Amino acid sequence: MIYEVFVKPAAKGAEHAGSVAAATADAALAFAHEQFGRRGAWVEIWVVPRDQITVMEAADVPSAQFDRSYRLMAGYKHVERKWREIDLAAARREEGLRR
Amino acid sequence: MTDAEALEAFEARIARGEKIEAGDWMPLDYRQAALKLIQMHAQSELMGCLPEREWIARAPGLRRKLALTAKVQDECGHAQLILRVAEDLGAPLHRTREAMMEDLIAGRAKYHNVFHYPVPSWADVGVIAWLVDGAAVITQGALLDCSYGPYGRILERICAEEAVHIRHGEDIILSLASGDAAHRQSLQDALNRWWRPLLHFFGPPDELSHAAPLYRYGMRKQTNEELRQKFLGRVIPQIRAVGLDLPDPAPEWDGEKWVYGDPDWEQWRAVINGKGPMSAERLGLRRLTWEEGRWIREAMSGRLAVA
Repeated sequence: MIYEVFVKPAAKGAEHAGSVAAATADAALAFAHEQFGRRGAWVEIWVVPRDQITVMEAADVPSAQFDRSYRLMAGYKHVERKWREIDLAAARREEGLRR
Repeated sequence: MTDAEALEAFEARIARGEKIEAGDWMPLDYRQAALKLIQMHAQSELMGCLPEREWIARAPGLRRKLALTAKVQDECGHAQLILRVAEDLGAPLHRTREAMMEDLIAGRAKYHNVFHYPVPSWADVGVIAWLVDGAAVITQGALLDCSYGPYGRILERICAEEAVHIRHGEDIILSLASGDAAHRQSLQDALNRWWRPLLHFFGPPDELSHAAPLYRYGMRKQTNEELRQKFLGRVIPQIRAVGLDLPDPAPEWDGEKWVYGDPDWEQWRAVINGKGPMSAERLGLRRLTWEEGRWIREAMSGRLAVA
């Protein structure tokens, strides 16, 4: 059986690290430890049978194909340009603020 | 391990900068204080959907309508992310998501003062996204490094989305600021309406005693006043730069800090206790959607037997 391996570092969420082939979850953990836990500060290793993972693909989601730039910082470049034209720096200097 | 030893080990973890995870041992006052903070944030996101929602149908132009819809959707999503964190934290105290929602609609739970106010014009929508979200990103940004790991991690995602909301608000207010006299006046009026609620947003300068565990255990690191000063330092130059007047009494820089007068903290207290101009109406709508959505929640949770 193939197990996908996730490693959780201290203070961060678990991240996908790779996969191992093993007969049982315990064996998968032992292999995962050897492969992905030898160095670095991890606090947990998770193994999940690959066939237990349910997948969605962006290509199958219609709304993923539309222009959704209004949801992204990159969709507001004109706002940055406007702030530059307004010369915010001058206003800050006027306030005598050291930011 | 005795309780005293467990507490000592817990405090040592926090002192080392380690993050506390959902299943870890934690002292009761930490769990309670963190849950109270996180629940208040979740419920603020949920109630924060309502003021802007009123303007989706009236937003000028398709792109602004889409952007405003996306913003409301994001806030609803933030509430769901945060409630999930709150659920795990509340489980040992038997505080379920249903109990938290029941508290909210019964008027027993607090949420941010700014969501108790009306939104009379499109300029208000711009000022909310520019300055209310601007204030929120300051309080949330200060919590990114908090000691409770699951909350800090979802805040990264939330802050990134808030940054887009602020841009969307700047887009609206900069358009109004470069419009005709009526546009500029509507913007000035909206700023005047929101100024005092914005000063209130960060809470009174003298910390309430129930916040003490938050500081002791590294959940909060900056005071209400530090956060408010940071906000004023960021937005006052912007307000002036777009040619708006600072509402009366205009804050003044005394060389060290912004002096902003007395914003009447009794008014703030009354508002967060449900006596704001829109408190009853908004809570009524939230109650209606909670009740009308009950059958969907039951169906989704598998509690309705499928014949």
